[in-house]
Amino acid sequence: MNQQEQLEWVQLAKAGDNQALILLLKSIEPTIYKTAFYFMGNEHDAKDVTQDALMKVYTKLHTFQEKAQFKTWVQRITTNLCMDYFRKRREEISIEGSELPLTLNENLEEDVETRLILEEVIIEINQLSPALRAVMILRHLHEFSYQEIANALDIPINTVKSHLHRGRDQLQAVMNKRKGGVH
Amino acid sequence: MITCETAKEYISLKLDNELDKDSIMVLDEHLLACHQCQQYEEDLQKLDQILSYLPEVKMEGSIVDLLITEGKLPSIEQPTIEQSTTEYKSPTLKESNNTNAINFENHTGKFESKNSWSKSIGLKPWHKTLLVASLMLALIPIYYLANTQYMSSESSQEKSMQMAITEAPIAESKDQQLDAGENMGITGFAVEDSAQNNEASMKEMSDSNASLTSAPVYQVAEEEHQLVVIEQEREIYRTAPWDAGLRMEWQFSENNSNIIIYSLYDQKNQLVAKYQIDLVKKTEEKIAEK
Repeated sequence: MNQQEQLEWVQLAKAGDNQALILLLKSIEPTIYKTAFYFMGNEHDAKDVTQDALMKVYTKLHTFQEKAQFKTWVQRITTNLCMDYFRKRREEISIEGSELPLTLNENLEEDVETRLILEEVIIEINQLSPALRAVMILRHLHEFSYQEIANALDIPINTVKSHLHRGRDQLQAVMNKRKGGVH
Repeated sequence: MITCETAKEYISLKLDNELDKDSIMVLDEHLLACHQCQQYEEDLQKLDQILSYLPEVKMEGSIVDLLITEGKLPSIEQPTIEQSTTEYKSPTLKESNNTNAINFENHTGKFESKNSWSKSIGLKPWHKTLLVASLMLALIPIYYLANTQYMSSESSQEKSMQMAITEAPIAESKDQQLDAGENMGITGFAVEDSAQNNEASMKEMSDSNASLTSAPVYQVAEEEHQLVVIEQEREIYRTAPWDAGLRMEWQFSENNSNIIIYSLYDQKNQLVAKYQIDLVKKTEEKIAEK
């Protein structure tokens, strides 16, 4: 679905067209879940965040201004909810290891080394601070531009650059540690 | 020449095609001489490739469907209309006084009245509809008038409430400013923060020279060779990083508390560059150079 089509659904949904609303929500559901899953590190919380994010999109749709991009608006709602959930979860219990039941790309089945590094990188993404994690997810999973990330997270563009550098630096250190272990 | 730390930041930007031509040249010059940074660039390229393999996540079932089932989202199924037994049921309007009871219950398109006042004066059903409609039309201005009066008395109350609310933050910010002015100076010398501690060490600053209006209170900090400005717990501005060997000093403009001026000095304490940040427009310009 292209952006123009999505915008048309937004307009129709705002005008009270329920069919357009449901189509719109279904089109953004996977992207919300993807962010929530990588951010929260487990299926259960990811589903809770997705449910709340979808409801928020539904109830706040009338406030969405079309000069903003819909995808960044949706990701702003999602990442804000993730941060809230993460804060609450941290208060409730200390995270007891992450549960990431992901199916890796089939092409990687042969490439044991890359697969192992990827698995460690996924775990390490979950160890990044929430601010760095959000930036890394939007850049590497949603391929957002710097400006889109700045808009979605409501942070200055230099902060995006700085967070991306720090996030990558930490993940790179994990890769290097692994290399050190192999040799 | 740039330091390895700056080079690493440039490498990250270059990976995203976000590094300008001049900086690419500076980086290339550094890379020619620095094996460690060459290795870092290779590592980041490898990492970028690894991150492109991040698996897609698949959901079992649709949460949208679940929300529809739970009645939290509207259903898109069309209601079934049975043509043969169509019944239009309009809302029932009942008045407490039985003698004037008007019942709009409409079964199979026919009005039925509970009293017989219309029959007694020889009116046909459509006459009655017309009468009721005119009665309702006549009532609208009365209702509107009564309501306007009520609203105007209410709105004057609302106005005074709003006045109180708009005044509150000003009074509060005056207090905050006075407090901040008493406890802190107007010039900030940012403290080098340790590499282990990424959390910025904050210094809440306020311009005591500013008139006592509702100027926002900014927190300014140095974090990893960048100046960070926070307003109400939200990061609103961050400068580009400067070279690690430089020392930074900053202060609010004497005439405008929304403007920060910061200067970078080299190890010989010579001014390298001076910048001005407009915190309202979120812009930055160089105002002096070595």
